[in-house]
Amino acid sequence: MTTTNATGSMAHQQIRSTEKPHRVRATMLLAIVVGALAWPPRANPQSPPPGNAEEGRQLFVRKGCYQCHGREGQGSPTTGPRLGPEPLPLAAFVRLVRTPRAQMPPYTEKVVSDSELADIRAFLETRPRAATIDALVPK
Amino acid sequence: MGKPTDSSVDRRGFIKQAVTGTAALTSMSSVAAAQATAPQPPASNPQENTSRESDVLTQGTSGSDYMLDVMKSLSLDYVCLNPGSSFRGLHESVVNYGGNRAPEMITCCHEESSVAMAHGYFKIEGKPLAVFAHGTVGLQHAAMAIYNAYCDRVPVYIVLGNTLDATMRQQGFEWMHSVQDAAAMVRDYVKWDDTPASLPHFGESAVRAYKIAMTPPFGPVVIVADTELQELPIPEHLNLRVPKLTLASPPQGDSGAVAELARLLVAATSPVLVADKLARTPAGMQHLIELAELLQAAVISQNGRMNFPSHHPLNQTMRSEAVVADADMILALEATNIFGVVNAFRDQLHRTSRPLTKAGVKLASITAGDLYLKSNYQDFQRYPEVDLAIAADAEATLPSLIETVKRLITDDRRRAYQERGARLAAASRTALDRARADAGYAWDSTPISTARAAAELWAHIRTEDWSLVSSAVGPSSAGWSAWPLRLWKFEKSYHHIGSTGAAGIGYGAPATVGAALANRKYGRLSVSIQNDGDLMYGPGALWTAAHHKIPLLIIMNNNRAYHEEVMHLQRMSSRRNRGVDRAGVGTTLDGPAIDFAKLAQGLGVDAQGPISTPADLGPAIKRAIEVVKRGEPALVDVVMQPR
Repeated sequence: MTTTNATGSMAHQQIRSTEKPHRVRATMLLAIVVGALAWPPRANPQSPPPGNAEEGRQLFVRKGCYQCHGREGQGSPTTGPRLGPEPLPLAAFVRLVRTPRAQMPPYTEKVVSDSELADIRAFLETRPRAATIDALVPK
Repeated sequence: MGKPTDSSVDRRGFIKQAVTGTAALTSMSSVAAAQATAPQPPASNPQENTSRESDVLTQGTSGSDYMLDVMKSLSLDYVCLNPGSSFRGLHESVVNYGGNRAPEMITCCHEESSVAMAHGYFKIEGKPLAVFAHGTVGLQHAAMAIYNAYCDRVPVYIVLGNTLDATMRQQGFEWMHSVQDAAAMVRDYVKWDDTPASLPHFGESAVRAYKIAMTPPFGPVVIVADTELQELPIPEHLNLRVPKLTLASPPQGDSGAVAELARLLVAATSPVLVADKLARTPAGMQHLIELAELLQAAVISQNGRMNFPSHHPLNQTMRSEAVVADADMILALEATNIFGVVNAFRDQLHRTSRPLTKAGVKLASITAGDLYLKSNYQDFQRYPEVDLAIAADAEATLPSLIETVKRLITDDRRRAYQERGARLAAASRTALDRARADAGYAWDSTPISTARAAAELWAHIRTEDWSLVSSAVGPSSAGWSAWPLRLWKFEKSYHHIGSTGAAGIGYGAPATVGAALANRKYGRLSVSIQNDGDLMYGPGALWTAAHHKIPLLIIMNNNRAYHEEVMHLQRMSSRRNRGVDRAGVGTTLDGPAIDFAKLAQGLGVDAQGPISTPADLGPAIKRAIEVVKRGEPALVDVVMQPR
């Protein structure tokens, strides 16, 4: 697993590059096969945006997203809105993180890369839906 | 060999030194001569009582007994103190002469706790408590809590011990514990102080201090009780009596201004009533309900006090930006931060603000804050650009405003109001439903979500006569991100105690114990959502609760950080492009994690935890409530999500 430093995204890439050569080759082969099967790319609005949800789970903590939005991206009435399980489309999600409109601090590519944001978004998309609270909090 | 230079003196310098030296010698000689011819004092100072007559070692009267008589006349229920030699005379008078009743002593482990306990007590009972403290080190400890009370407009009656006469001070620490002007250190944030020079002076000033503290805007006051006045017998020639206390009626708004305000409110299409520190008594909330229902106006509570029922159809606090944007008339009631109501502030590299209101909106205010302002500490916020400012106590002014509004409302206006009220009620229902739906996210998450914790706690207290004695609001995690305000039904004046005043950390634990002390005689279930960082400032408050058998349910909001500061570090790091992974340095309370259950147990408080699984929380709360119902404090340490 990656660890971050002040230049989080660079560290992420460096540690990936230390994978054992045979694992890298196998990964490349798999990528080529998957790529070939997927070619030509289709414009399917139902297909999920790219991203690794498990990576995203860890990035969500490491990049501090949970500090305002909660561990599950559930949001807080006082610090940040709910982010999942229906996150913004990836392009809008990235745009909002780079140039937030209100109080959210800006996160540049240097701090969190586009691919990491895709992972985070994938994590948010897998968050469970809300439970009903009626048993504990009757109307 | 050249001329010596280092020790040489030129002619001009020599003459100057010679003249100066002669003058000094002359001066010293004249002083010596004057001293020699001055009347010589006896071998010892007569005031130091070395004669045979002064070997009388006991006394029949004491100045501090009279001081206590005066304080008893002020109906001070308790005196919070950490014991100190500079008020030992008063201490003894309370215990023996006064029988430790009204006021009864509450032993605190820190002067900050003493003042914060008094702060919390007032928020429930509407009466100040007394605090005894050293004029030096004790007051230095108490200072932050006094500032909280000052900003929160809460009266605290502080009596400081001090030995002004230097010749009466015992060598050593009594000198370090003595001060020329004890109250100077806090004069910027107390409403009034005095240093009486005699017992009759003490009597007048003590009663005057109470009157000033209890005249809106309320505030803390300081009286210095000199040790000599406390400890010596009452001089026989004094015919002491306790001065009569007559509290001033609170200032009400000018009738012309009130009529103008009523006209604006009645004519408005979308009036909004904003209340912060409005309800200083239970009547305040009833007045606001009456005015809001009369006008069918939107209400926003900034929750400095329990101003308005949380689930009232006209409560639009959850959609405050929307109603402010739609408003054509806004009335701020004891709201200091009016600028913040009508503007949005953006904390980015370049700090900016933008109006939330539409053009032409009318702004009016009623606040006793306009009658009393100090310069140094800047708690008064941005200058409020209002169209009508009524310098008066809002709670006292509301009855006349209501009567004037009633006279102005026509049937046509009443019909329009009903339509407006129906729209607001529908919007309020939608907002509450949305909040309930949002609370269900991360329901089974570990650590426990703030919404889940609020729901679990509500399930156990909603059928009780409960009182949330911690802050339910504010930007910090106090109040679990305001989930209780969304999910619980706050209806009674004691259902929450409002804000901290200055957000000085260390207020929470002792203030909740003070509020729980006030609730005790009513048999209410006092509930505290206790922040971990706050408790570490003054955990001794737990011991005070155990020692005095103050029933209090304490649910730890243990997010293992000063989390507000984590977010500030994150903001700075992001702004500077340095990554956020070190935002925990200097801001977190982990490694080791603090075991609050063990801490509480060590201080005599029943405790459970740490609990981090949602399913375990309900049973732990249930068990803790059983302990509290036996008349004791109980703590549940809950490992929480940060927000």
